Amino acid sequence: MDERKLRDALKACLSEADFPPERQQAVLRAVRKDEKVVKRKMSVALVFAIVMVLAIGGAAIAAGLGVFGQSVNDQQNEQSAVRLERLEDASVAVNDTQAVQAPSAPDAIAQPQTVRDTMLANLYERRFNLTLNQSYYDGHKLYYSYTLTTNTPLAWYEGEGLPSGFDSWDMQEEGKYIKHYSNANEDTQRSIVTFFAGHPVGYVGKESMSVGDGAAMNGKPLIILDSGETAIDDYTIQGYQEVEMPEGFTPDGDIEIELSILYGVSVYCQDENNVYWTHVATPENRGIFRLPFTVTLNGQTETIKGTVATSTYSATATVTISDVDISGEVVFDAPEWAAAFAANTDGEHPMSMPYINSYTLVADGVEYRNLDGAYGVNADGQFVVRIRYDLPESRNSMTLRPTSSGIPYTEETQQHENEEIVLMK
Amino acid sequence: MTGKPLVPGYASEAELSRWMKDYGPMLVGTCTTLLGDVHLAQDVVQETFIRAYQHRNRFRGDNEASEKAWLTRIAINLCRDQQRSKWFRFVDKRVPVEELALPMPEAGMEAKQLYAAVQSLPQKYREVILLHFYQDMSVGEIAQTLHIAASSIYRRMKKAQQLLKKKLERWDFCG
Repeated sequence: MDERKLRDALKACLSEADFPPERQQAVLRAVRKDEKVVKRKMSVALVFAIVMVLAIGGAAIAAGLGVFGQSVNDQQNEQSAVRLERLEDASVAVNDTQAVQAPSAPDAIAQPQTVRDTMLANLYERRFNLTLNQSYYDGHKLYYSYTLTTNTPLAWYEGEGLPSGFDSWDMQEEGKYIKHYSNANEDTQRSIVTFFAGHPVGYVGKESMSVGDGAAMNGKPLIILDSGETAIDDYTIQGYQEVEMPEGFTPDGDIEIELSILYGVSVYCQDENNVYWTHVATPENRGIFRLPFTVTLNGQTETIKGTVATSTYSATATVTISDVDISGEVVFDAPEWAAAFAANTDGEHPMSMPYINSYTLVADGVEYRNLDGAYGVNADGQFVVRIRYDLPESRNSMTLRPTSSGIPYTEETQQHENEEIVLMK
Repeated sequence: MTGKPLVPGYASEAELSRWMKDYGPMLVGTCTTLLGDVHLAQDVVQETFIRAYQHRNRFRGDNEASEKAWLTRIAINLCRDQQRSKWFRFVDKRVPVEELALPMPEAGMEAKQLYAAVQSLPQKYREVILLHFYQDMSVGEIAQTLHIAASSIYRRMKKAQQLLKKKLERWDFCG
């Protein structure tokens, strides 16, 4: 084995590996989102809705609130709760249901002889209804809620020994399953670990279904910004997703989107020495259905701007107000900040001068925290801060207040310079 | 403000940005080879940096090599998690299989064959080959990254090279 050749081959084949700026921005947004936040006040309408649900039982959920509204109650959607409340009001009911059926089973599967064939036979019997319940589309962003149901409860398989019919595994590792316990999906993982604790040589199969992350338009995926999904029972899930239209996209009435259903069985097993994983899906469609839906332009946006000029920098804020939130960016004329940011990410030195990396929105005296939090340098080489806020109840006057000063401290400047940006229509 | 952690115990944004710049592409290359899907690899690397940011106080190293080893360990563990639970997470890539690979404009046919052979190795051998020949880690650094004894790394490396040789002979490759 020529080691130099191997080294050169790997480096040549992986020379295009990249962690692109949008991924880096997503990381920054995510870590900002993880900051501790003050619990939001619920609106009177929402409190009333929750009380009603508790009072008159689960059946009222479907009757009273749409999926957006119901998703507010899921603790995992806490960060998006205010936006979901708005969406419940601003969205239109679509209620378009598409039904699909798994491909026909080959003869060999129809009379299953092995565990794998039994799992496949069940998958070939699957039928799904995917309902697009609600949508809100303002030309810049699209939000939709959905319900996915299947004909029978999702299966759970378990047994002693290694399951028959599996010639190869996607993954094999030394040890016992419990050593590989991960927090990725706590409920399911706990069930699997519990099973293997009592069955040192055995297998578990978990059948699952889901709606794929984000819609597609004209065959291209739309970037997903937010999502949530809740299991209602053993054969129903519901959720919502928020996607962004491509840059430069011109809204022009209705759009055709594509949602996907994914289904299959995850198989986990262990013997005396190893743990094994694989998945089983109907090979004809790799366990994926893609279904078209039409959504209507029903939202509207308004763009407002504001500027500030100081002795150190000037900045322009451009903000889009929709029916569900406020989002945009502040672009700075501050070349030294952009240069320092680049040097910082190059590892040369930290940004040592005062600079601004976030703004609080003050709308009619009420403060709103920035939910985005990304900052950096844009394609034009300008320092930029991304902003996103829950939609204020009242917004006759709106001001962006920096969370820190961008001006070096001197008594004079601290007393006299105003760094707030007043947003004007 | 500069370099200040957002939450006590977390990394600073400046540090996070430097990690992404310094180690992002190399981690994407490693994870792409382990997962066979560049988009999934970018998902994993994204999660790697978020975890690293959140658990900065667990990092005990004091030099660049140990920082790289720490981030690589997180990424490799996430790749393993991803493989064992991918059907729980259901990430639909919506792209044809051929688009899951990285473009390789600089690689000749021979290099591509060699890369394909590496990709076909069992995971534990692929990991040591990638860390040694792609990330230029020493055996000691690989042992630190994978939390395995250096003697085991030597054995895996030897076995990996034997397997590669066998595969390449079968493919009529003169390596």
